[in-house]
Amino acid sequence: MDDLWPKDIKGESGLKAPVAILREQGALLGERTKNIVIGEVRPVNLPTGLNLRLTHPFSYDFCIKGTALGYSYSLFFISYPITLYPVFFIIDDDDLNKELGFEHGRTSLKAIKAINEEKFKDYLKRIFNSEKSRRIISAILAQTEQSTI
Amino acid sequence: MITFLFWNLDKKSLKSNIKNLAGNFDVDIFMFAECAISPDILLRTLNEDSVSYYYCPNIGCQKITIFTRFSSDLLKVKMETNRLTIRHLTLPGLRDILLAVMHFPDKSHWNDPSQTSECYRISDIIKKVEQEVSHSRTILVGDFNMNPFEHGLVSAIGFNAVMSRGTANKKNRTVQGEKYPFFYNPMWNYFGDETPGPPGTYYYNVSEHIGYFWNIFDQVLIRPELLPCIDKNFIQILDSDGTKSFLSSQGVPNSSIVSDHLPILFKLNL
Repeated sequence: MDDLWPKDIKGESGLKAPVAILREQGALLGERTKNIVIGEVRPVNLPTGLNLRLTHPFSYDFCIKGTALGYSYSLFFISYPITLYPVFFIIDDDDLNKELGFEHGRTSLKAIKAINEEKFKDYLKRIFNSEKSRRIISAILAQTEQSTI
Repeated sequence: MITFLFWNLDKKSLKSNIKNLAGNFDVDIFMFAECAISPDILLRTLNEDSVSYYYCPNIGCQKITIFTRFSSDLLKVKMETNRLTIRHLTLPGLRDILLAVMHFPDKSHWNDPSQTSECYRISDIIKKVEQEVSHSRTILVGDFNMNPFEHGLVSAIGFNAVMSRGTANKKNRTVQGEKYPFFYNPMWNYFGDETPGPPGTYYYNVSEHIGYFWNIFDQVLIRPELLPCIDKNFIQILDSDGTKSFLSSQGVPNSSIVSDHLPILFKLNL
C-alpha cells in the first residue's frame, strides 16, 4: 500500500505544548524555593462547544502553591485550541492587568492573546516578574516560616 | 450556632454601622467585599468596647476582607484567586467546613457569557478544594453580580444552585453522563414583597426595556451536606444595622449614606 502521509510526520512532534512550558516553569520555581513554593498547573474541566470564550479544548489554571501551607493562588488561566496557539490568558486582577499593560474589561481576553511560543513565554516572564507574583511568593515563604517555628 | 455576615461595603467607611452590626446581631464572621477601610482601623473599631475580633488576612485575594471572633488559625486559607478566598473553618468540637467568599466581576465590565464562563471555572476550583479536604461541606457566599436565576448560577457545570431543599437533597444531577453536585440556593425565597425583609439586596433602576429594579446579587449557596445545619429562615437580608436604617425614604438602599448593597446575615448550627 502506498503511504500517502507526509514524510516529516514522525513519532515526535518537535513542538512543546503551552502546558508543558507552564509545568517546566512551575518546577523551576520549586527549585528556587526548595519546593516550599511551586507553580502548579491544574487542568480546568470545562465543556467544549459552548461558544464561550473560556472553552477552548485545553484550559489550565496556573497556581502558585505553598506546599507546606496547603495553599494555592490562581495567578492566571490559559486556554488554547488543538493547534496550541493562540493561547488566551485570563487574568482577573485589575492591578496585575494594569501593571502588565493589559486592557481591562470586556475586551481583555482578546487583548491577552499569545500568537506563538515566543509571545507566550514573553507574557509568562512579565507575569512572573510582576509585583503581584513576587508579593504572593514572598507572603507564602514568610507564612511558611512562621508556621514551622 | 455560628453567625455569618456578608456585605459589599461599596468602598464606604461604614465603621459605625459595622460596629452596630457586631453588637446587635452577634456576628462571629464578618466577610466584606469592596472594603476600603484599613483592617487595623476596622479592628480598632470592632474591638473598641471589648477585644473580640481578629483580622484574617488573605495571601493573594484582594477583593475580600474577613474578621472573626476566633483566631485566624481556625480559618486557614486554602485556595485563592484575586476575587475568591476559600477557607477551611475548623472550630474545636464542631464539624469542619469550607467557607468560600467571593466578589464576582460586575456587569459593567463582564458580559453575561463571560460571567457564566467564570462560574464554570470557580465551580471547578471549589470542587478541587473539596477533593483535597475529602468532604463537600461547603458554603459559597458573596456578591455574585448575578441573580439566582442566571445561567452561571443554575447551570449544571456552573454552580448548579437550585431553589429547593428537596432537589438539593438529591445531592447531584447527571447531564450527558457527567455528575454535577448541587448547591442549595435559599436566596430564591427572598425576592419580592412577601418576604420578611427588603425585596432584594441591590436596587438598580435602569433606563432599558428589561430591568428587575430589585436584584439579589448577594447570595449564600450551601452544599446538601450542610442542609441539616440550617433552619428554615436561617438567612436575613438586613435593612438596618439594628440601630440605623440602610434604606432611603423610598425604601431602597441609601447609597448616599451607606452601601448600595444590603448585607446578608445567616446562621449555621455546625
